[in-house]
Amino acid sequence: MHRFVLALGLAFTAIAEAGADPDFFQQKIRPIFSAHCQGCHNDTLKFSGLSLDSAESFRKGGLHGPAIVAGDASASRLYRKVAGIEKPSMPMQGDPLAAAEIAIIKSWIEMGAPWPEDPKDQNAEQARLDRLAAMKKLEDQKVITDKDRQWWAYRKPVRPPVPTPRNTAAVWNEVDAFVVALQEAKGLNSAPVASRATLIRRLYFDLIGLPPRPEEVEAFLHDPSPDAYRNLMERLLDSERYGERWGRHWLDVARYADSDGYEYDMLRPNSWRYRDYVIRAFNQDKPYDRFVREQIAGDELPDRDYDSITGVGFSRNGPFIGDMVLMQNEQTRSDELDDMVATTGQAFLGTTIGCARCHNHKFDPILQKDYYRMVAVFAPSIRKDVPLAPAALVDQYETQVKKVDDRIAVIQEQVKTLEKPARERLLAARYAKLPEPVQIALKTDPAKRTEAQKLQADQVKYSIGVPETDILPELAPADKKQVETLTASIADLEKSKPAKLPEVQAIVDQGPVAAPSYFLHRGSIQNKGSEMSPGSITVLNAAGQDIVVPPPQPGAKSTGRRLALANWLASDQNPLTARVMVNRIWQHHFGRGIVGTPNDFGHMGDRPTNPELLDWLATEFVRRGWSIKAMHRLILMSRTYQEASEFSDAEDEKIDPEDRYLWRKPLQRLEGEAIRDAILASSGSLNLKPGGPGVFPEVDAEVLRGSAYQRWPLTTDGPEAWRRSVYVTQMRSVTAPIMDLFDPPESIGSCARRNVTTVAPQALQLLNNKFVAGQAVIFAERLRNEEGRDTRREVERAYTLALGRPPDPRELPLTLDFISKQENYHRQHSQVLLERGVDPAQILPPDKAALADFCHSLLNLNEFVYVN
Amino acid sequence: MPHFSDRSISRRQLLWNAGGGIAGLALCDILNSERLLAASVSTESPTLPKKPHFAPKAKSVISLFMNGGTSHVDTFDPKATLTRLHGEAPPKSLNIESFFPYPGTFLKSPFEFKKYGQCGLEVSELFQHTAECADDLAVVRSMHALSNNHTPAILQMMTGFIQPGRPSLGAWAVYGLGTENQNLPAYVVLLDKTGGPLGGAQQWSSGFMPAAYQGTAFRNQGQPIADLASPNLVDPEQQRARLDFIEKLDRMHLAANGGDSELAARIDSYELAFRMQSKAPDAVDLTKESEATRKLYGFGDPACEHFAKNCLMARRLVERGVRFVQLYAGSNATDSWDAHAELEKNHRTRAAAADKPIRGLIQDLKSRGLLDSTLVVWHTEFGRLPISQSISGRDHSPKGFSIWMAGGGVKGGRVIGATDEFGYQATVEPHSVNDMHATILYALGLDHTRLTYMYNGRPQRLTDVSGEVIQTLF
Repeated sequence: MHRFVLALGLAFTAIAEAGADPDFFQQKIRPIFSAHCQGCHNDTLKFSGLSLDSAESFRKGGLHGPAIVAGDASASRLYRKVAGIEKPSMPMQGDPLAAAEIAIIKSWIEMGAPWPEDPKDQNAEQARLDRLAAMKKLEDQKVITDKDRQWWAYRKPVRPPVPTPRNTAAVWNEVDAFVVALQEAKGLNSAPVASRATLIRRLYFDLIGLPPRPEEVEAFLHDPSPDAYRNLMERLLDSERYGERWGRHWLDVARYADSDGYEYDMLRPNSWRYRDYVIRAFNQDKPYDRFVREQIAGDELPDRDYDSITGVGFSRNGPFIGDMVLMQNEQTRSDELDDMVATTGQAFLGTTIGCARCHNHKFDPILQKDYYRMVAVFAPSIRKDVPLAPAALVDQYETQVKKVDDRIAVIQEQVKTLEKPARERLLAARYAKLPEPVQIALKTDPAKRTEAQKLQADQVKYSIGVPETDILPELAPADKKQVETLTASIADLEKSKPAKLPEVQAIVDQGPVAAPSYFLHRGSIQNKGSEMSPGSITVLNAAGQDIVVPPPQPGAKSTGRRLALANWLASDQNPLTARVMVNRIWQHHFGRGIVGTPNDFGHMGDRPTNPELLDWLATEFVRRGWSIKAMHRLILMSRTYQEASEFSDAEDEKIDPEDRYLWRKPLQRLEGEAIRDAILASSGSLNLKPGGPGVFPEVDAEVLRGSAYQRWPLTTDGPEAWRRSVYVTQMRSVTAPIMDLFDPPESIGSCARRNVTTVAPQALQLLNNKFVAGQAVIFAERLRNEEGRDTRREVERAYTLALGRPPDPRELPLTLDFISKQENYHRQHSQVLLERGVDPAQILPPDKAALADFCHSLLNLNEFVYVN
Repeated sequence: MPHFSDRSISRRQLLWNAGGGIAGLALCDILNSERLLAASVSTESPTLPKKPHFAPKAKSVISLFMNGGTSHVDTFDPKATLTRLHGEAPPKSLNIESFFPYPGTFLKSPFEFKKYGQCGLEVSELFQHTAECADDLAVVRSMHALSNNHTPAILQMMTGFIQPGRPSLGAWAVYGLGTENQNLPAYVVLLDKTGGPLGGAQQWSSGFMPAAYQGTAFRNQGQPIADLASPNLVDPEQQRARLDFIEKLDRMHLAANGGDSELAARIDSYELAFRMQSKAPDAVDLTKESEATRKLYGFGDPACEHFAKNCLMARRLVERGVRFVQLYAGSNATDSWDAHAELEKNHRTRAAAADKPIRGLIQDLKSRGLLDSTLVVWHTEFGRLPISQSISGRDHSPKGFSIWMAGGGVKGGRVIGATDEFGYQATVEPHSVNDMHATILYALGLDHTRLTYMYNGRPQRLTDVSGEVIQTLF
């Protein structure tokens, strides 16, 4: 592309030098541009990226490429648009060009589109060069030193020897050896191993995010096999539910959402395919290096497939201001690139490279230049929804659609002609209501208008129109009928279009040659410095080394820049990639990573609590082919993971109150998704349908009113919405109940670790929310069906369903007593409700209401939302 | 001062200690003073009162946000020049940037301006009732903002940044100071009757901070807080019985887990929820107000009844120790101030919906001695251009517009800064949104450069790397 534009530039100059009539442009073309085009296509508004303010900006072309192909009008977008050959035709607002004007443009392009060079001020040019040189000096000011490269996270992990702690009984595998050795050094005692009942609940929530069923608990408790635990773990790792659980963790990191955010917060019809891709990747145990490559450069991989092109949607997950031309400009593009670069840095490298947008990183040895070299990696890309279909099918589809569109265009033209007299009449009536000076302006010969009159006339043209709905009643009956028939035929034609092909939201490069990308001083698009070539983070490379982007092969459609970055990221030579991912895996198993700041391995982040363990795991991860499931096995089979969390030891507490060295298994609160899933699983109403577009559980109508544009539909709670929470639509402006109050990820930037806060509104929600109350009733009905009016057995089953264990001897009488009191209460209360006019059908029989109250209480317990 | 971070923050720190929670409960009704309750609840709630950096001028903030962009040249910044040059083309040198194409000619204000109060503050007829409080108002006529697009501009007003994902001003205030009443949300959002602003809940989000600091949008109908009451018409004794059952089981679990403080905190949160159920409805029960008070706010006038309710509720909330109340006048729907055409009609309707209630609020706060401790901020995302759009309207103007403040130590009856003679650009003592935020935090006793939260590898601020307190206001 770059070369092409350059060649075009040379062609202009050549023609200009050859003496083509420069007056032609000034006298014929300039007036057409200024009358019809420059209102939008100027340096300030730059609609669609195109400005006609100067020869230079014209040659640059717009978002869709060059405006013309010199010498070939029929291949030139400018001509095609004004001639109405290509839709949307131009000008978008106002009258089309006269036939004569279109002809002038055609012949101008065929002459080679001569546009005399704008005069250059020699001094200004020198000043520009001086400024660039000064900027370059600033850009290169900071240099990465060997000392910078010595930071623990920037040195390649070296596999440490496995230590040999004294307490060999506490060492079941290498993980324990590292953990126990450190505990011994700190004078800590480790907890005993947890009970089987605890372990099964822990494993279930950890691996699949659901509570075990009573039968599964029973089987595990009585499994005589010495491999009972291992077998259970393997079964859960094989479960399709595993990807739904662990995929969600990655979606946090990938700032995934199903809507754009910002003002319009438009729903993203294809975002779910990325979500399903992530779930699939975890279920298939896709090697992590491949997973990284796909998400950065899935479209550029030599062995790309539907999965990889879906994965590259990673860069589309960020917030997006919207497609409206008014919103799309260089600044919003710069923000978009920032989102891509910053998230890539955090997600794969645990590095806050986003801090280097405006200046060199304040705390880490990350250069602003590194940032803009990473920007240059992503800059050639555009947002594109790519069909998941073979090229031939796509061509066929597009041909069919175009055929229909062409027919529609013809009919629309007919409608316009029929409506023309009425439209003009109505418009005249509207003009007549305008202030007098404005009317005078309109009546004045355009050539003779004053400056103010020009502004007024243009404003009227642009803003005063006649809505389609006003025209129809004004038409003569015959015309009206004809318009209605034509409109109906347009609707029929629309329906005749072939079904839309499945699409994914991806990014792809505009072409094999990238447009220049610049260093932006102070992060501002106004302050362009040197042109930047693609690169990575200097401090992570040996001195003088960096990614190399090979020149594009003939026929290439892409620059290959992202592929080069992806290969650099997914390399075992990269000091961060493996460490960052094993740390994330560790974090979800223990609630806290070995590095407590999973997205920041820099100087402001936490130091690893056990650096040798981290490095051993990182090298083991690579050694085992970047298998995430292999890492789970290693960690889950350790004694450290299987420790009890109830253990207390005053001495340990004193030495390590935060349990950083894992002398007991930390308690973990479930995330909102897991709480909601557990409620549905306990009541038996969980709908396990996997994949597909997100569902919309019922959200309070008053909450929806507070959301802009109210895109979340008003729904009624029911089985279709009772799917796993990972399949609930995740809008940026509305969050479904339960997830909304239990610290959801803000899904604007990468979320490394969820907050865990406890506030009263969460209690109110679990106590009073309609969804929870409804599930409690279903839970009670389930007990009735399964245990049939034997309260004691119902209670036992309810405990096992909700908490994975039967009630203990103190709980059982307490519970039976509660239920019997509740039954008495409901006997009286149902009378009160009847008196208040509540529909009798809505009132549960007292015994069932009492059972439901008990179920509801279970869903509120600490034990229900915490996992030991 | 708290300097929490996403790394050093321990979950325990964010939660409450078990001590005193339940014991304090028996006292609850005896004390009958909601403000005192806080001390008995817990020692480490994320919203517990915290010490400011220095002596505060205000305890609470009521922010009155005019949604959609209120024209400054038609309200608080009269421009005779526009009357003189009405219908003329603006000089090229003015280089007016409009959001929509086809900027027009100078447009005079259709509204009459008058001088009010001893200070002689000039205000248009649109805010003639508010203007009765002229001697309490300090108008900043030299505001400028970054974006001429609504959502980013509102985001900047609310969070300091034009991109989403940042904590809002109210969240920062609660993060820094906590709140005095644990029975009510620390940060309340009162929306227009037709809905919320552009960007929705992003505008009162806690961003990267814990959800405990986010705004709670009160519902306009039924119970003010979602899920405040049981859907099955459960009375308090019955609710108590259920909570007692839950608590007994939770306590056994707590004992088995060595008295873990997170678990204990969650037990406390149920007690708090129980009290919120009884106290919150009372806080928003406007029938307890006298007829005179209601009238002062504009009750009975259908044009402004909704905003009147919200203003009166705001007073009841700050009276009860709520730290930050965010009101929206106008929404994203049809009742926005966004007058691209027919400005006169639009602004008359919008102002009629807000003017009397604002007067009511200021006078009522004053007569109750609350104005000294409550900072009232009137603002909007940007002003409107001195030239026409669609002949009778005005386009967005972020380069110069007006806001005002009252109470909370602000010296009223004065004008700060100025725009150029056309009202296009802030020229005299220009102030950024960062300055406004720094000033609001200052009134609350917080130094905006020291109120930081560790996120994304660096200490983050509401005001990022700039902002200066507008000292001339105090």
